[in-house]
Amino acid sequence: MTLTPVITEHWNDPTLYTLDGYRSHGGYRALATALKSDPDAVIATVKDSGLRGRGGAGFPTGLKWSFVPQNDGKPHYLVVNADESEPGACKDIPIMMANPHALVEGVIITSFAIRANHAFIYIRGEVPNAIRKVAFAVEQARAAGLIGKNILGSGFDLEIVVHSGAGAYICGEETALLDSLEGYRGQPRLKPPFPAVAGLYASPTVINNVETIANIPYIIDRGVDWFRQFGTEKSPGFKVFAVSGHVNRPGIYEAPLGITMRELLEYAGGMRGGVDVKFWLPGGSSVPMLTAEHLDIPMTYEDMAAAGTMLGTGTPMVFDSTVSVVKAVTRWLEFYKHESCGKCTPCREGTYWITGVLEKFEHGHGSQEEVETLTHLCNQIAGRSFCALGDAAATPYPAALKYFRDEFDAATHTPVDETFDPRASYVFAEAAAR
Amino acid sequence: MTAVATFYTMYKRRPVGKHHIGVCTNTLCALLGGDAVYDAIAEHLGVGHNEPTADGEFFLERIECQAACTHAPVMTVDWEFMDDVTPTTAVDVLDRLERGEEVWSTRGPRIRNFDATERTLAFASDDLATEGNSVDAKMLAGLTVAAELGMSAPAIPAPSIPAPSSPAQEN
Amino acid sequence: MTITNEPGAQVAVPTDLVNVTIDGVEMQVPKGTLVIRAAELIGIEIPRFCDHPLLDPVAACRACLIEVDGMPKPQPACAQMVAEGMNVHTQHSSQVAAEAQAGVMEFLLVNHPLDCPVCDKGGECPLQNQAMSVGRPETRFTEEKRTFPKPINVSAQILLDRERCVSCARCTRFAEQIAGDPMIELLERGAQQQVGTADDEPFDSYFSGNTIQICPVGALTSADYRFRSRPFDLVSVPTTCEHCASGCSLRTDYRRGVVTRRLAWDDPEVNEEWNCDKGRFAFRYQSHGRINAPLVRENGELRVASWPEALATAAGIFEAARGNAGVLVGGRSTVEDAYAYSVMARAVLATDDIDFRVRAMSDEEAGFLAAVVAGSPVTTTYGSLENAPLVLLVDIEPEDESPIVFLRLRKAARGGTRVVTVASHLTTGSEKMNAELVACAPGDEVRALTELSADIRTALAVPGAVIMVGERAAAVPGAFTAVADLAKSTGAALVWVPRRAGERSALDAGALAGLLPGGRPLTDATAREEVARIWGISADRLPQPGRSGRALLENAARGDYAALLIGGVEVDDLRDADLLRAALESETSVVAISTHHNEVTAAADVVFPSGVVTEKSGTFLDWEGRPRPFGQVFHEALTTSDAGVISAIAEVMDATVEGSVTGIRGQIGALGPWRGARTTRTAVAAQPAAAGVRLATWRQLLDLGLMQSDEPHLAATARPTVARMSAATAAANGITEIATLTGPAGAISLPVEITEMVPDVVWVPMNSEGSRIYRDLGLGFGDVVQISAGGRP
Ligand SMILES: Cc1cc2nc3c(=O)[nH]c(=O)nc-3n(C[C@H](O)[C@H](O)[C@H](O)COP(=O)(O)O)c2cc1C
Ligand code: SF4
Ligand code: SF4
Ligand code: SF4
Ligand code: FES
Ligand code: FES
Repeated sequence: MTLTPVITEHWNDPTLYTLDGYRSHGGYRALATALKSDPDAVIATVKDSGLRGRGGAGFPTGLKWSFVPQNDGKPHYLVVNADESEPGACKDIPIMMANPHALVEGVIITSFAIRANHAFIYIRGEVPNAIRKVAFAVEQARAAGLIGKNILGSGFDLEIVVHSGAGAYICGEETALLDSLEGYRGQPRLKPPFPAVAGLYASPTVINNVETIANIPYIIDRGVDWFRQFGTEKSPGFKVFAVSGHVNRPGIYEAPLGITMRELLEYAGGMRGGVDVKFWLPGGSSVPMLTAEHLDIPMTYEDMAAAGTMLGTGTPMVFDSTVSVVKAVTRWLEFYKHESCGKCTPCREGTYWITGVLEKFEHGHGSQEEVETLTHLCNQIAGRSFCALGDAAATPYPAALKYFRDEFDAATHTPVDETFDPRASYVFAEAAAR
Repeated sequence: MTAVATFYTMYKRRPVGKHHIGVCTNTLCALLGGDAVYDAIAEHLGVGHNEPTADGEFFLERIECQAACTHAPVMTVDWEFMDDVTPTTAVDVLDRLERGEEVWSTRGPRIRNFDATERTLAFASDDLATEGNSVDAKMLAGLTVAAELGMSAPAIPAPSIPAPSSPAQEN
Repeated sequence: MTITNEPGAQVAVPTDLVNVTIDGVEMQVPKGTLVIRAAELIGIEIPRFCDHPLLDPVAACRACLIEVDGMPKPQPACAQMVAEGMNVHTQHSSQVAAEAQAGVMEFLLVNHPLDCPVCDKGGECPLQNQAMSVGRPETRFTEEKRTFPKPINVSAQILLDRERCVSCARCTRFAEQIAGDPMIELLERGAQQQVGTADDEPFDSYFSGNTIQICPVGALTSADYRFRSRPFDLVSVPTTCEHCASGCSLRTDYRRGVVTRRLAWDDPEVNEEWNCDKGRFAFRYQSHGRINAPLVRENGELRVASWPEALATAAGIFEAARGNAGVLVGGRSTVEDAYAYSVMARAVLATDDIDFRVRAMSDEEAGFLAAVVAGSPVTTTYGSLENAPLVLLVDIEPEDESPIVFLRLRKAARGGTRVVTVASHLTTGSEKMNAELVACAPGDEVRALTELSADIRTALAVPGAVIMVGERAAAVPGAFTAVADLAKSTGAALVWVPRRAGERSALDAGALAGLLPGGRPLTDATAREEVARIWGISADRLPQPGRSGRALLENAARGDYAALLIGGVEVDDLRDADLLRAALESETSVVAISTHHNEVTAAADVVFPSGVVTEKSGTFLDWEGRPRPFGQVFHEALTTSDAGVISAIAEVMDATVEGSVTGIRGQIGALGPWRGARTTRTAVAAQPAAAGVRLATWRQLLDLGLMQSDEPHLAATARPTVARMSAATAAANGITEIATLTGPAGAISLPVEITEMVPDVVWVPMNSEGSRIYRDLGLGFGDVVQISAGGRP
């Protein structure tokens, strides 16, 4: 499958982040089109396109929009989830730094469709350079009359607020994000009510990922048929893949859904030093890992699910055979423990416990009994926690155990740093080589 | 307020000093060398995680994935990207900062100081959007390969206008 | 990234029934019922920690996971609503549910210290109990437990052992949702999440003690009770709180004749599951400084006497005073005790000079109480408040003066009830009820009520609207007339909310001149007949209407009574304390019945010990008029009730006054409700407002009240004593930080808190440290006070 730059097509134009630059490539054409149409037609188009959320869950975007009650007399809100904090995910921040107007245009069109007069872009606080680029784009769009009152003479009014987060992975969970946006601790809310009915300030709210929204102008501009040329029936469209890890050319590769990891690897220059792929994760640390056997599975929502994992954020992390899977899993669990919001018992206590046990394995002090205990503990979290962070925390270990049990066995007696010289995994020459 | 402040890692409960130094030690960065970078900096500064140096110049923190895994190992200075660091280049950045030299983010503006970034975050904007380069070779990796291989997305069809579902606004 | 539930329509909560099956048992419950509640109905107990029926669900602890057919994951029973045809499997019929619950229990114990043997909650701990029923016998956790330096004071009264906390957020939700005092919150996150306060703001909520009770583990403890005993050593008895007219049901726990703690008892119609900290923590007065034996005066000194001697002496005094005695009951008596005073006065002492009001009072008030309140049936209830479209508060500060009224009004307000308060300023309490202010300087109530906005008047006319008037209105001529007129003209329900637990009891027992029990007018021939028959005397032996209020006190001050019978009365509680003091110094003989030594007993000729609530049974009427009966806790007590004492004196005088609780209840029952005409109130006109700065004041919940003595931890949570005035008033008088208030009796200096309020008004607490208004200033609510800058607090 070929690479198909769409969102990334003009990233090599250093003026793309400006309004003029974006416009010179046809930017804001879709907005004019949408505003001449009507909100329901826009929703219908997005529904027909089959676009699925790029934030990880893959929920059909048009369907989500259609849940917003109409004529309910309440304000509606659009909230863009730009919290990108999933380990391994690194596509939304680049999109915002390189092509912020695609997001802004998408926000305006989406707000029009769901009849929102206020939109919020919640960007994680650790990335000021994405925040300033988006804020700049919003300012330029406002100055050009693309945001504000009576946009392009359509009678549609919109304000966009850029909000910076303050450091909490859980705020990427959509209801936690809403609490955070309202100024509270970012802990997930009980559902129902769902945000589409009672979200931000208890009003109907649509929450979408950055990449999802950045797709909108292209769909509106180029049409459903064009969009559906990419990908599969169930996973139409293109995807901004961010390939990281032990590849020769880590970076952003935009391609249709359905491309395989082997193809992506090839475009990314293959594995560093020709070493084998040991394990890889299609989209973030919260999806189960795969191995070299799975390189030919199409990267679609449905095929990844069939392989026992998920497309997730579509940002593959690839590790070669220098890496200790025990160490990788331990580090991810340390992350989940650090980021657990504390609300529910399984995740709060489970991540604390599991991390403690894994750290013993890392130092060669695990036991066979604990190999099983860890499995139980993950089962005691998965499906029982309050939100998906808990489920995510219960993901790395069982997958790793499935493919690399021997490494956990070894870690019952030998510290992983002895089995796997950490320096061998470094991507710089300085301390590499055994 | 305490409840909120203690929930978020970016709200610090002690003075950070002039520069906040973050080193990503989440799995991917850590394995690709972030641990070594962190160790080198900690040794160089003589401080550990979440600690300021005595002279108030630096504050070191192990940070989580910075959404820059393609640029691992990742360091941040006052939350601006310092991509693809090695122990040596990382320490060199600190030395240059300490000497008051001009240091540029690899994907962003000139490094200012921690307080300036805090202001940017508080107002969710500043006037530095036009400064520095935010797109680098790794962000262009796919585009570059596509160009080399002559690949592109299917041609853009003639503009299509979604049919209004009500007759109201036909122009 | 990752998986989230997806949006869908939220179900509203209609009232129709749905069919559900729980563990094979088919049942019908109202739509919207939570599965955990539905299961309870058929006796299935699902484990729970965060769930509390009066708090919004959070589904945080995950202890209650159950399986629902058609749902891929186990669901929290505490948040899952039933739906038509739903098939639920609890731990009893589902392996998945049982395993999920056991897993959560195991996690909960991971970081829980093995403290049970030294924990206050040990023996009554939901965690301990549920761990035994659903937990694993042995822990697989061998890592290091999370520890916290222990314990921390979230307030002077409440301690927190953080490592015991299971983060159920019951306490924090209570503070936010019920009390409206969100000073305790969850801090930090993840395994470090903990309950705490902001550094400089302790959890000084009037309702803080409830959090101890609802904490499902021993994380929250009271400074007083901590380590004092173990639940299984205690005997529990249901009681009624004696501290105020909210009428809380309580549970009193005691060990070896000493009360160790008090808890709120679940009474859905009154206090739900809550009470206030005064009712919970203030009970040491019951065992400190008590009068244990009768005393008689000999050669100017009181000495211990035998019961027969004291009774004979008292009888002698009263024999000589027939037809010329006065009776003061006090505001703390039970219905039964007040009834005995009432009978004693009329049937034995042949006097109608009787009153129970030991506070500011007026004849207008007495007329109002007789005409509108006494003996009226329970119509306006806590439930009415919850459903009222509008509640208008006049001269009452519920948070201080009737805390459960406050909680219910807050609940009502959260549900949409409009609360309007006629007051000098919006207090924090008013704000928590989301109240609107009808700004009114003390004394201007009549004008404020006549000039009420059309909008409020209209709302008062909506069925269900309620007007609540407090005891302070007695200090404002015309106020009771104005509220009664307002109620009449709008059709709103009118309730009088006294502060003390015994006021409504005494009123209905007829302990007020002109009134026989049940609101019967003394002048009504039928009423006299009915009562005389029950009392076993002829109607013409009942006296003609006598004195109450100031007239009674003035007569006493002149030394015109031959004898006074005085129940529990603190002289300084009277606005006219000097009159009673003069009486005590006069030649008049005084017989006192009292629990504690005080100014009255010190001057009395005979003193009888009286039992506190634990030592007798009885009934209080709360503000609704609802009987709140309670039983005796300590049967071996040496004291008896006031009624018992009075009955014994009467017996020596060859008269009969029923003294047993059952006997009195029998008489009251036999009398039944009064169906005849009630007395009519005489309208009293407002008085022109005096020029100058006026005093606004009331008693704060936690203050220098006698029954709160010896409770240092509780006292430390009281609100600081400050003087409140508007910025303009302060500026006009050159006041910055400290103000000095001067009245006829003296001056006090207090720190000033500038408050948005009506001009030319200064508010101070009525009976707090450094601010005892009657005694220190000789002034009361609505009086003109001199204010000046500076002074030393
Ligand atoms: C712990 C957690 C973190 C998440 N972080 C993000 C995030 O950073 N960005 C994002 O778009 N979605 C994130 N999600 C998914 C969102 O909850 C939500 O599904 C998504 O924003 C919906 O947008 P989409 O439909 O456009 O994908 C996260 C979910 C969880 C449970
Ligand atoms: S699973 Fe529970 S503790 Fe973990 S982040 Fe979600 S709500 Fe918080
Ligand atoms: S202190 Fe008690 S009530 Fe409060 S959160 Fe902890 S366990 Fe729950
Ligand atoms: S509200 Fe009144 S009755 Fe209830 S506990 Fe408090 S003082 Fe007692
Ligand atoms: S792991 Fe370091 S930036 Fe993602
Ligand atoms: S009781 Fe249901 S989750 Fe806590």
